[in-house]
Amino acid sequence: MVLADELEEYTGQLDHQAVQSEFFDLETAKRTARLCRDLLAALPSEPDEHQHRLTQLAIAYFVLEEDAEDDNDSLIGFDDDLQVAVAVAEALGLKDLVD
Amino acid sequence: MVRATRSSKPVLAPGAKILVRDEEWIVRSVRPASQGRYAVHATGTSELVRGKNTIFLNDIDRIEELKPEETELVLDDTPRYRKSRLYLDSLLRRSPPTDNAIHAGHRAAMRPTPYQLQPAAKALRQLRPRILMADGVGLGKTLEVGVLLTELIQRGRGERILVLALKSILEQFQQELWARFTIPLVRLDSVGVQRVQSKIPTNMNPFYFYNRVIISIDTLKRDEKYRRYLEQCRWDAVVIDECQNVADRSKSSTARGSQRADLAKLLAPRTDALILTSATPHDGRASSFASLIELLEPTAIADKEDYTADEVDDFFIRRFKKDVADQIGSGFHDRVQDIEKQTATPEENALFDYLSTVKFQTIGKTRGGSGMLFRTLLLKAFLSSPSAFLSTVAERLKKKKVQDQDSEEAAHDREVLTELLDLGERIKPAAFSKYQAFLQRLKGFGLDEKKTSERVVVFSERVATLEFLATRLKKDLGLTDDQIAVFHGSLDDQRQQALVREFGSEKSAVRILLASDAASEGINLHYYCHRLIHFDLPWSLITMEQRNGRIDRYGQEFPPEIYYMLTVPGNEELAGDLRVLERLIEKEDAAQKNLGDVAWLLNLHDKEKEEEHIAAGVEGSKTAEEVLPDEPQSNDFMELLFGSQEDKEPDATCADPNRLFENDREYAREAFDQLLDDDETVVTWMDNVEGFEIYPPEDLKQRYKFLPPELYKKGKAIRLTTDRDLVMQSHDKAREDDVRWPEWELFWEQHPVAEWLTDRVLGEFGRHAAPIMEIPQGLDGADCLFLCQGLISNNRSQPVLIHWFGVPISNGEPGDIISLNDVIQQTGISGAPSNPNSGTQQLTIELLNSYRTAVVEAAGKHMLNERRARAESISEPLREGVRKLATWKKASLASFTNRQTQLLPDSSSKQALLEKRIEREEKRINDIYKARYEWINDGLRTSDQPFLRIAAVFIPGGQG
Repeated sequence: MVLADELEEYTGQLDHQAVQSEFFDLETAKRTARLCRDLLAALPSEPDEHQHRLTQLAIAYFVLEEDAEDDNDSLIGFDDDLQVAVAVAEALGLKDLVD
Repeated sequence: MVRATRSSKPVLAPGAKILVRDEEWIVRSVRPASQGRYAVHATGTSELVRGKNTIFLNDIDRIEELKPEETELVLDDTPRYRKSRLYLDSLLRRSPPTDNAIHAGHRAAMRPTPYQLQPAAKALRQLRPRILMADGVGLGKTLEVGVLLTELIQRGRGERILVLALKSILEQFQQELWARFTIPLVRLDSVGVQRVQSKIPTNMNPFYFYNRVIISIDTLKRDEKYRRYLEQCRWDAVVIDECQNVADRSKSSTARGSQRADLAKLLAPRTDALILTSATPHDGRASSFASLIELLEPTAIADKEDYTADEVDDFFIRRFKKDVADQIGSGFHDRVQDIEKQTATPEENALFDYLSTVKFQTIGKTRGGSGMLFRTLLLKAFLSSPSAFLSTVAERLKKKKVQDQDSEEAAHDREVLTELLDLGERIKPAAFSKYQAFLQRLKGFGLDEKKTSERVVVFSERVATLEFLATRLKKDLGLTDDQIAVFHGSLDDQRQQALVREFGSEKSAVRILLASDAASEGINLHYYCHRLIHFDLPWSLITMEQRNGRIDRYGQEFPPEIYYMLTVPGNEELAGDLRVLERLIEKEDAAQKNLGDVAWLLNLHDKEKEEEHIAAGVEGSKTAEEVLPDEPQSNDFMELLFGSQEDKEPDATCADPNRLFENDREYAREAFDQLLDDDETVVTWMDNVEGFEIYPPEDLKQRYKFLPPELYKKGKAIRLTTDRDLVMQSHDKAREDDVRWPEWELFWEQHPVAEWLTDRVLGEFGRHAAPIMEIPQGLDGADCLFLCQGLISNNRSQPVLIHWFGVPISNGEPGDIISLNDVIQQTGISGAPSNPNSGTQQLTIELLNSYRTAVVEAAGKHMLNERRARAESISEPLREGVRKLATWKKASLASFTNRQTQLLPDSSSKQALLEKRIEREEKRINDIYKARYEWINDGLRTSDQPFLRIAAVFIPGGQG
């Protein structure tokens, strides 16, 4: 599955997860999803391997459920996902994407 | 028919009826046990087990709870629905609060002022109720502890309580908590320990036998066996009174200090709530205060040497008399003080003169354990009394160093000491100027009159002085043996407690209490005494303040009178040196009025250090002004402590309980009428008092076996009242009469008799049944109205959401949920509506039965909505808490790494050693983080299976 599809599939499950899990951090999750989408949209038409890899990293980390802070089980499950995405944006000089 | 549970987590609420081993029980609480099991604490209600408390484990016993949709709906034919109202009121009484308001503490037998409720409110706002109550001397910290413990008990989080206190105040603390809050603590003093040993098998853990215990911290720290018992126990709440004794102090390397600190560290992780109290919670160093905060919350502070107010502010509360004066009104009076300066007699001057010139050759060249030169030590002893002086000299003469050496220097010192002995012995009582003035002062109080009721407490640092005074005063004032009492640290706990009790009793003969500084912490001496004399001065502001706090405290009815006795030597140089003592008195008075915490004046925060500092002034190396400055010695830590508490603590919110009876007395009266057969004439109601007396029936006696033995004497009635004033008067009178335990006890939900009565009411009602009540005025158009209770527990089985609500049925369908208040208002059940007994038909009952499943579904949905709303409201603060925890983890490791990098000397092995230490520390920090995270997680995550109960059904009149 391509990265963009993975991102959309994972994002599509967020609302459902929020109902299932009592303290699911939907707000941070959606904020991270937005930033990941913006990073994807910011990819230049001419392939840039460095930017591509970093964007890939941010999205891969986001869609990975059992990361440093488990997305569903941890009370701050998306803090790490957002931090990674923000770090990528900053590394790519795309600070303005971060809201 | 039943929801049975074995090995899965029980969905039970306090007050739920369960069937286990074919007997009926009422659930008191459900708690996690070892190996992932759950323990259901229950009280028997059926005939064979009535009143018996027991614990069932869900993997051993089949615990059956009836399904709510199978609740049997039964008609109540009692007049004014007495049976139903008692049943519902009892369920409401068993319904623990789940918010942060004060629900019962403010209704104890006290006149609470807002500041006394704030510590409990602040603790209840925490994820874990843990707090350091650090109010100044005499503000009533015991009452503040009682309020918080009451709130914990009401929430089902105070079943097991351990109080650690100084041996001198065990009884005082125990009585206050019983008389005002009916919290029964079993006192394990020397007699209590023997009693326990004779009552239970030798290998049984006494802390399992008794759930609520008060014990001296020194008994616990010394006794290896008791320590082992403690290691096996878990508590709902631990109180450490005078917790400065367990803090990391600059002198905590002493065996005693570290034993106490170890004990506190042992207990802190074994309790849910932790309450620390101290008027002197730090020694001026950030790390000392941090050690107490770490007991409360190990993840609060990342660097014990350097932290901010934000890190500690949630965990302590500190106010002084000046801060709360506007709330107390007549509860505090301005202190009156007088310094009585006596010119030394020729005999005294002879000794002063000799002492001022004397030079020792083998002794006194260096500062001893007291940090003073020996000459200063002698001067201090002499300023106490010639007896104290002689005792000090005689002791020194006995010492090997002086006695056995053959050198010229030793011979010289022996000669000097002998000369001092001779000079001291020449000072007979008539030539002891301070004593003569003191005598006149006592006569002025009328203490030489035979029938006087005047009392005075006299403090001295020296036991020799106390003994001298005891002997002389009897002669000079014509007092009898029982009119003078001497209190000092080497008395055993029984004698110390007896003296405190006697001095607080109006009927006691004691007129003069001669006390060492062992009596200066914690004990109440203000009940019939408002005069205190410092026969000698402690060279410490902290000790002075603590001494004065014995009578200058909350509840003192008269302006406290404080007298200081000073001797002024003829020797001008020495008199000049001693001027520092006069300034010490002035500064203590000014500091307690303006600064609140007198210890900031010198910023030493340690009695012994203050004494050394003052001694330096007396030794003449500094002026009185240099020794005792006008302004406090401010530092960053002081700014942190004061600054952090600048914002006014919000007043506690108090909530009135939901009840169907006008008051507890009416509830009890109806309950006894309902429950007791005519031949059970155990209760007698009083005509002139809002109360009753009860001769406990067998099942109640059974409960008293696990309570302090002092509370029930075989064959005697227990007197209970709802009149708080009467309880307080009775408490005062018990003290006056020296009978220890008040005649009248507060009848409220927390009293063992009220708990027993509620259990009896719940037990009397049919198994898994709910009453049907016919409401003549109708139900706002509804076909009927179901009163339901819903409860959601967290992962630790503690109830976090409890709701009472009504489910109306209209046209056969559940309508919108209504609140309990609306149910009460619509049905008028709190007003004891008349029961028309119109003969409701079986057909109606069947119809009501058919609604039950829909009602339970609607109730379940309602509770899940409430659960969602709760999650939404606490999510953000909760995440902030967890983020703070993550920050703590990083900062702790960084701070450790920095410190170790600086500490370790440069060498080839430095890096390896550093890495090893960091690895070890990282593991420790991770363990704490993990434990704390799991604690938060388990405490906040809830079950999505609410416990539901149909409690009653109301039908409109005329349906019969």
